[in-house]
Amino acid sequence: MIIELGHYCLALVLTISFFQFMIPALGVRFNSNSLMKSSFITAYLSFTLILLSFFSLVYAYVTSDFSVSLVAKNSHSLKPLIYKISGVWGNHEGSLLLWVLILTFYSAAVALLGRKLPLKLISLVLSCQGLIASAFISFILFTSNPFIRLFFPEVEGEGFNPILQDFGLAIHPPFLYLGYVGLSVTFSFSIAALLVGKVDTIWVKWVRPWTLIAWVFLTIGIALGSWWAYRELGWGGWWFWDPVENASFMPWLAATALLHSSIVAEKRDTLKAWTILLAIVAFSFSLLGTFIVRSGVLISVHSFASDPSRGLYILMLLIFFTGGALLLFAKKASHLKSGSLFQPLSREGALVINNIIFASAAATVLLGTLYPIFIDAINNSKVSVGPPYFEAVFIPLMVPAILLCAFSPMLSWKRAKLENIMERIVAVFLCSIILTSILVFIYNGSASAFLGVFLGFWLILGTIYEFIMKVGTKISFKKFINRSLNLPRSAYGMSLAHIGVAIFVIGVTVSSAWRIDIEQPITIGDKVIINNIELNFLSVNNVNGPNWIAERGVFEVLQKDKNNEFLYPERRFYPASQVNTSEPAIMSNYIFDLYIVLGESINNNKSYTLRVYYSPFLNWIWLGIICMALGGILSLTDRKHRLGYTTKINSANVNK
Amino acid sequence: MKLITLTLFFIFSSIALTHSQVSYKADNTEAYELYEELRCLVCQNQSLLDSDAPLALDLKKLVLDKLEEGKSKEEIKLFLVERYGEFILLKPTFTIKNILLWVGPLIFVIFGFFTTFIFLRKNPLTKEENVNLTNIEKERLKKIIDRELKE
Repeated sequence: MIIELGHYCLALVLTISFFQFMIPALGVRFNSNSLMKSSFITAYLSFTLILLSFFSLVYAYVTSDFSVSLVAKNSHSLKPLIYKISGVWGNHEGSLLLWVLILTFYSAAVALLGRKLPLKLISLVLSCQGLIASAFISFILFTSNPFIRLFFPEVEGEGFNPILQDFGLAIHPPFLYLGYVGLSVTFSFSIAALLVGKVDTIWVKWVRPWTLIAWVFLTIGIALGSWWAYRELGWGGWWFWDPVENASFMPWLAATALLHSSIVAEKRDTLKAWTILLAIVAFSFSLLGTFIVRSGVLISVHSFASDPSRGLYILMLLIFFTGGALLLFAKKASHLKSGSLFQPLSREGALVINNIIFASAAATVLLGTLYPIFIDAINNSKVSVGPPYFEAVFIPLMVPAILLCAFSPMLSWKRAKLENIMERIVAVFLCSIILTSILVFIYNGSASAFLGVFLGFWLILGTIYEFIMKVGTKISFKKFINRSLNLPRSAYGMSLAHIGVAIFVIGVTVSSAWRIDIEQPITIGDKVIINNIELNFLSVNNVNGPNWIAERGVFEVLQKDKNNEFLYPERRFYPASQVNTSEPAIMSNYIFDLYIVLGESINNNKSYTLRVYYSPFLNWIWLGIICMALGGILSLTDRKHRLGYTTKINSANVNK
Repeated sequence: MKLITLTLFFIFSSIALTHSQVSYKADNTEAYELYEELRCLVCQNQSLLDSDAPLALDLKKLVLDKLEEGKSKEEIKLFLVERYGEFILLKPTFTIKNILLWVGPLIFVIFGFFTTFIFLRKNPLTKEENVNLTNIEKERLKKIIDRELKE
């Protein structure tokens, strides 16, 4: 009964969101306030009903109702509760329902926070959100319905892909979708601005925080997925340039560009057309990502349930929304007035270069990801585009971006003078070169290690220097503290995020340049020495988990002057899905990660293949990403960047 | 400054611990590099380095044997391409056929700079400035603006 109710709610929302699209649009056409105002009600109503619908599916999973086809296919009664819940979005149908839930959530949030915006603008935004919602809900109902019942209910579920049963992955999709779908808000705002025909302060003040929130979620979401890949896939790597990873990386790159261009739009009232275009592109990349993940057009380690007809539908949605938006842009963009002008050498100029680089990076990832399909279509030959390609083209793109990042905050707006900051640039440059040279010389690093470490130092030192200069020099310590406490939070946010990038770059460089891999057979009682760390293979025990059985290796880790620790890599077997998996064991601290994988057993369980990866500074990668996300959150808490920005003048306008 | 010293201290002390053993990788560098650039043909999307599949193990052994025979990396790649097709290379060849793939990123960047150049040409900053000012006045105005912008 609850399932049918959920099903009904979903079908109802299809109509409601269609109304959310149509009625305000008619309201704008015929200048009727009451028609336009209906969009608020439909937005709240859609969210409430989708929430009910979503909970009914959660209910089916939690109670293991195997009369529902989706639950029978993807769940199992013995699964731990958290994975029963996360199983809701661990498949195509359920994850789309989550997608729509988040979409309607954003619409409701925009409606709630935007009550005081000009009615025409906000109702057009909600109308566009309604159109996106109706497209996706019809997609769910007609091709991927999660509520279909089985005529003969199953007694037991078929289980759930074991490698997906992980805490990081359980919360990865919600964060990722909060990011993907968050970009729909800036998209809808851009469409509304194009339709209204003007981009004013309110528009700009709205777009920046909403981009920021989507960007923060996207950052966390991607990091969670990558963290999962690191801990579960068992190869000591954390990024594989896999099509599905690229699918989430492209919107991130576009959102990063958007984030920076919206600063120019907000502070200097220029680059507005470009900001609109980026907002459109960023959301299009989200849709494209959805298409790539679900259509199965590309070979990926993250194979999702895929079906050509679904792929076709999403491709049509993609063409409709992207093509439509771009057409509208082409028609209207020339009417948008560009505000203040600037010289090439200025903060605006630096941010433009940032935008060129990030947009090119996104385009490059797109090119590399789609190239195999393209070549296959043209001359029917198969080509692989893998990590070596992406590393070869991506690093040259990012190096100038990081070089620029350290000193562009020092440039003044509009017209900068290089001589004013030359001294600082030279000081930071020399310091970083000297430090890097010493370190890389002592530790015998390669040229690429030198480059990475240098960039890290350059960015950290440059950012700290810039921060100190912003607060002021030649003042007493007390005054310095006082002044720095009075700085806006967005200033802290930017510095923290940039330092995060630096930490990330150092982590990536050091962990790959000084990584040590060992792969060898090992028998109980043997020991392996890796970088002065002694690993003793003590025993293998059999353990039973909630829905798996495993062989668990016991390794003693001995380090000089430290207490011994133990690591327990496992080889698990999941009877429900008849799958073997390897659970790596990781010893992790801020200096290094020691990652061990117990492989196949050889010679009647006497010996095993052991793989050990020693990666220094690996945790700095995650630390860097956390700093980036925290920087974004700090900026969001800045009073100027409230999500529901209005001014007194605007609310007065509404009351008229 | 304290923060910098502290950071440096951490970096120094921690790299000190990581130093001693780079040698292991150095022995097999060539094999490693090849494994990373070759695709495990039966896997979803993994390099030889990241794969345990039987075919991947065979291929790894083949690579090692060929290296021992004294074949260069390029020769081994060529041999594998002849046998399995270009699909096995994770890094597409730098040839005319793949020109778009390799030149693409450069084109994007050039296009970006070109568009910006056009934009700046169309909207030069000088348009805003008042041409009737004398040179001395311009200097003074510029000084004031620069001072303000600095703050």
